[in-house]
Amino acid sequence: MGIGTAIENEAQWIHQAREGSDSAFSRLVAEHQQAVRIFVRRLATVPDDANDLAQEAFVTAWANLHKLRDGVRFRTFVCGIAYRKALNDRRRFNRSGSRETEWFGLQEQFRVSTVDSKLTVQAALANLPLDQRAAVSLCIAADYSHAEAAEILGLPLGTIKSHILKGRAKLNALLGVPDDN
Amino acid sequence: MTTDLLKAILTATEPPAPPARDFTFVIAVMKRIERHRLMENLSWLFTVTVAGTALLFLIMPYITPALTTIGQSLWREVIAAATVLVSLYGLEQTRRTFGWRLF
Repeated sequence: MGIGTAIENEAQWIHQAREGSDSAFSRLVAEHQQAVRIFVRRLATVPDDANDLAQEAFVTAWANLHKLRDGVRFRTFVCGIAYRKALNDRRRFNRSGSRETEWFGLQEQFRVSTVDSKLTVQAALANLPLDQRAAVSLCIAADYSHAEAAEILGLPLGTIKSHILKGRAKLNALLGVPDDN
Repeated sequence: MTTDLLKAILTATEPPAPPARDFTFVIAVMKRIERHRLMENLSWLFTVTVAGTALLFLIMPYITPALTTIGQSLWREVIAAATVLVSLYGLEQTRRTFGWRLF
């Protein structure tokens, strides 16, 4: 299926879902769940909560489908909702006094992971502030355009570019490799 | 480190991606939507019931005498109108549930 056809189908399903069709909405969920879940997994405070967060994001998208503007992709809309939910989760998590626990957990993981590159990279990513992590996840780890990332995160394009540069520099510093830019 | 290399490392070190087609996830989302819809309907019904009850509580003392007089002379028409209204409401709800189009 070409990109044009996919976008046409998506527009049709959105139109039908707005008119109350559950089957059209479930098609939208089926089509975009993978992209949304991958994005949410990189943001979730507790990785096991990622699916829960993604499901909540889809439910909120369903309830606010009338707010989806023309020309904005459905996955962009849902990822934006998921990002705001992840931000709220993070604030709740910090308020609940678990910040130190999480920080020490990450530090421990980071130290141990010097022999395990998987943990090192993921721990380094988890060490970034949420907005930088989201920008890096969208534009470097996935193939979202800067404009799409700006729409998802609700930030100006220039801020996105700056987040990506800073995030990449921090990742390189944490991983101990020189930054090519 | 170049962007491509960073991308390769980030994607390679992640746990495996969720499947492209995951009906369990879709069903879980649709279940939550049903629950959300049920709660919305219940809260709407609760609000209408409370508002209706409060309204009736306030106005019944004033309209009861008039209703008694009308009821004695027009009870057939009142029952017929109530039946028609309930039937129309039921038909509309059935049409929405099954997605029927009248025209």
